[in-house]
Amino acid sequence: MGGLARRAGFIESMRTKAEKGVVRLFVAGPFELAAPDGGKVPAMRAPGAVARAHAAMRYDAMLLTPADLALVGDSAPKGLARWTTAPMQVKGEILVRSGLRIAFVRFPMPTGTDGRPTEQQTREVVAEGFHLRGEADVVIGISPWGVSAEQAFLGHFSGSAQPFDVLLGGGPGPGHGGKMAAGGFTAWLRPYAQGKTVHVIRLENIPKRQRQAQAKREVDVRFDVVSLDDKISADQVVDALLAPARASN
Amino acid sequence: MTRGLLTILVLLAILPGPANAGQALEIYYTSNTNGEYAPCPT
Repeated sequence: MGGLARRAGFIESMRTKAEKGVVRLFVAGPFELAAPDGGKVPAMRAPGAVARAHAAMRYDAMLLTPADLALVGDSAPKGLARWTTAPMQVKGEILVRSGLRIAFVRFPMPTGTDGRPTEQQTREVVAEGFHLRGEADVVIGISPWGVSAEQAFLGHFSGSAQPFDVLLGGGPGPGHGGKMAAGGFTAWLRPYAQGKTVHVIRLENIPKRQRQAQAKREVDVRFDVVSLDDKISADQVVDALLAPARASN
Repeated sequence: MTRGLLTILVLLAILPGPANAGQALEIYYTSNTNGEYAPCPT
């Protein structure tokens, strides 16, 4: 639980650290509360407190799976309310920050065999991504599909046009520190297990990226991983919110 | 003619570009996965 308070402290420090020409977004992907394999997780001890802690982080975008929502329960805190519709259909939206138009596409929960997305779901995600690409400077996907389905999805696009600049993955399968996929077009990231790190993707020169839509652009993307160790100060408000979770240990 | 072209070039150089020209985007992302730790992306 200490990791969540440190995460909040780190997020707040980055949110308030101004850097000219840099837009910062804070995004929480699938299985922040529940485990991808349905196993026991610390949030089960005091799910309400953990939900309030996540709400306090004021994410710019979030994807809560049905398993996460089952822990949040019917009384989601105000800050999470906008994310409490289970992602059963693809859903896109555009945020505008400092003139930058950023599209998010929340992938639906996979309903195919073996927990994989159906072809129809894949087609709908691609169509929504292309639709938003026409309106946004950057298109970002958030996926609960797991490593195999995400890799297969990105593999479809090697050498051909595809809509996503960034794919933020999650769910079954291992994490990695970030890699270029889909023929060098898409920055793909899957955090390490159990939320003890914050992963960072930095995209440089956004308009240039758009004009070079089909070029390999590894040089424009930087990945970083921040460990939430004792060098990061915990957010005192979130730390206090998590007191019930610690008390039930 | 040459002076006119030079004037245009100078103006293009000093006028501000689009609001998002040269902007960087940093995404801070957390999520959960499972499986073996993969420290070296390939």
